[in-house]
Amino acid sequence: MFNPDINDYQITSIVKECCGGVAVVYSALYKPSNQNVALKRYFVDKTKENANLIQQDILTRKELQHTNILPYLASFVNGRELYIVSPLMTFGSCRDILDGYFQEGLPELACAIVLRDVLLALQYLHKQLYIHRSIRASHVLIGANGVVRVSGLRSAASLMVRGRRQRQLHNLPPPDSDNSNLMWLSPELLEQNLKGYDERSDIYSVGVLSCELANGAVPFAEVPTTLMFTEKVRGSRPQLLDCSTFPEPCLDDSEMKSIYNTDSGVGDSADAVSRLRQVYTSRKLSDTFHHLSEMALQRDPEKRPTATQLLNHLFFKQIRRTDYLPGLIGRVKPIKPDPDDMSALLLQEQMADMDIEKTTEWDF
Amino acid sequence: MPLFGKSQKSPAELVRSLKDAVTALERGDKKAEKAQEDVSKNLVLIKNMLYGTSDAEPQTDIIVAQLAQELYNTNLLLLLIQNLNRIDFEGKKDVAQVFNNVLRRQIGTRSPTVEYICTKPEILFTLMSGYEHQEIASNCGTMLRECARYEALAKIMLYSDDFYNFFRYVEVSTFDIASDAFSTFKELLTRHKMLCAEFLEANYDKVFSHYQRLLNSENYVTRRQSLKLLGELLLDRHNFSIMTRYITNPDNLKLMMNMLKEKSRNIQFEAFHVFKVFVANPNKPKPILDILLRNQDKLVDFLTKFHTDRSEDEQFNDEKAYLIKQIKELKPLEH
Repeated sequence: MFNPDINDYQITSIVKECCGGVAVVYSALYKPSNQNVALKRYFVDKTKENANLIQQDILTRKELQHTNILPYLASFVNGRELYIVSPLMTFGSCRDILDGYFQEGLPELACAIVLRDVLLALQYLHKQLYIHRSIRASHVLIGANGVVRVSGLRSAASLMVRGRRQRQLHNLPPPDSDNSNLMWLSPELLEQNLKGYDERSDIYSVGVLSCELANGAVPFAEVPTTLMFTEKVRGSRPQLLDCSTFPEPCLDDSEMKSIYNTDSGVGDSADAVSRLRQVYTSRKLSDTFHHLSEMALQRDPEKRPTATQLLNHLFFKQIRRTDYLPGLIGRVKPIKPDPDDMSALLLQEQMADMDIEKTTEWDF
Repeated sequence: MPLFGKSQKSPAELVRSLKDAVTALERGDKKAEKAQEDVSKNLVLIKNMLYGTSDAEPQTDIIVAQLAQELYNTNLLLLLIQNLNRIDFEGKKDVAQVFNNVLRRQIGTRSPTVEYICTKPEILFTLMSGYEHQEIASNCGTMLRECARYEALAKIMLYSDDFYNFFRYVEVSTFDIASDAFSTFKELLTRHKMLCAEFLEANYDKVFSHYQRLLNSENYVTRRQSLKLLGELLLDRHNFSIMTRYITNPDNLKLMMNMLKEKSRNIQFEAFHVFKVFVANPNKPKPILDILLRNQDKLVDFLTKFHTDRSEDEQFNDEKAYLIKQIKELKPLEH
């Protein structure tokens, strides 16, 4: 049990800003048990309708208990801010890891471990009749001992509606701040037709995730939304980039970039692009990896395997019990709680400064 | 026919073995572990009967009708809810899912489960007290909100003494429980318009003296949510007589004027939507008029500078302009 009282938590550092600037994640020390936790602080006054989504996120996480799903520990209000306590995931999200350390993508074995654990989470979620609807690297977190946990449950939807089991859903997940979530969503979900979509939509997102993890870049990131949509509906799918799929450079830079999305998002210099290209053309990912990714990205949801079927895929046979995820991504620095981190305190002061009171005094 | 294992248990057998298991669990003797297992197992079987599984469709109406009848006859729903805290994690969710499914049963225009619960209101009261217990609060919340959709059940809850516990539940320090309780509270006060209006009229003093405490809550989220709900209640045409009563009380006006200049922009904005009703009232009682007159210039000045960045919100700007005009034109009563 974690007390719903801010005085029991000592902020030790800022992990990151998120949710389009309305929330900040801190690492904090839970004083009663000397435990490090993650504290997500929402500035509720800055948002209009988001309070419902936060509530939804908590409600869903309270309904779920699985090693590979980020548990919810406590939540409370202090001042005009809402705090949510979760376990501290010291290596951050896979997106952070890709941006900071692996622009060319994670090693294949690391991809395998992460994808397996994401599929285990999905296997559980689907059995509980939930569809996650925002599987993406930024929602896959890695903890100190290498545990992989899925977050982002604010977008999850239950197929169990008012005491009845639905076979399909039809609505879009709630929009995120920059609508980037659409890139991971399945064609049938984006199509918004009467057929609707079911849990196999998540499997498509796992396919997009597999490319994101292996290539470093997000598929479709450089493509305008409408084009991304028509491409998906037409059945063209992103690929794992290696010597078998990535041709010798003959196109000019911009064309190359728009087709293969080699834009890493960080330091988009010509140098970086050509370095990435070299990595892709000189490496070979296993055939089973390509196969897994293709299976998951099939246009027709009926043909896509379930999470359980994918977990039996040959690709995962390469994982040995002794494989240790933090060892495979050795260059990633874990978040270090630092009680002297002044920036955290500075930010708090900055927030306090914004509280300028109106000076009008009413005459009653 | 399944190739392996026993053939399916009948609804009566299932309900009996679940009841035995819950009773054993309640006794908490050394067989409790076995009982826990039996509870979970039987709950899953009942759930699958009602919902079907990925491979099987739900059972036929006759089987479901038998199952429901057994649940009523044995009072098992109440027993399950009373022992919810003893049932394991997945089992708690199964109870809620079984409950919500059975609740929606219909025979023609009749809802037999709703009729049954009307004769066993303890079910509702036990569910409401679920907010006292962290580990079952949200399971009870899902069942309560489903019950609140039925007017007969909402009426029992509204008119019970236990309803006033909600004013405490919505303010507890754990956000997830407070917000869950608030959703149920709001559902009860808004879902059935005529019922709600009658209830609020009949219990005006008691409800609004409790409500005042929410508006003054230390908890920002409680304050913001309850202010927003107040605005919705007062502006609903079904609640016209409640609104007229509310806006004759000068203390209410003072509270809203103070909330207009709260630190939080959201609270300012919600307070505006209640404040406007006081100003727009064509028959302002003297105490209200006096306050507005004493602050006439300040209010005009304040409102002119109020949320000027909402230029795209046409309705808000029209309303603001209207209020400024009204306040400028206010004159003392001539007697």
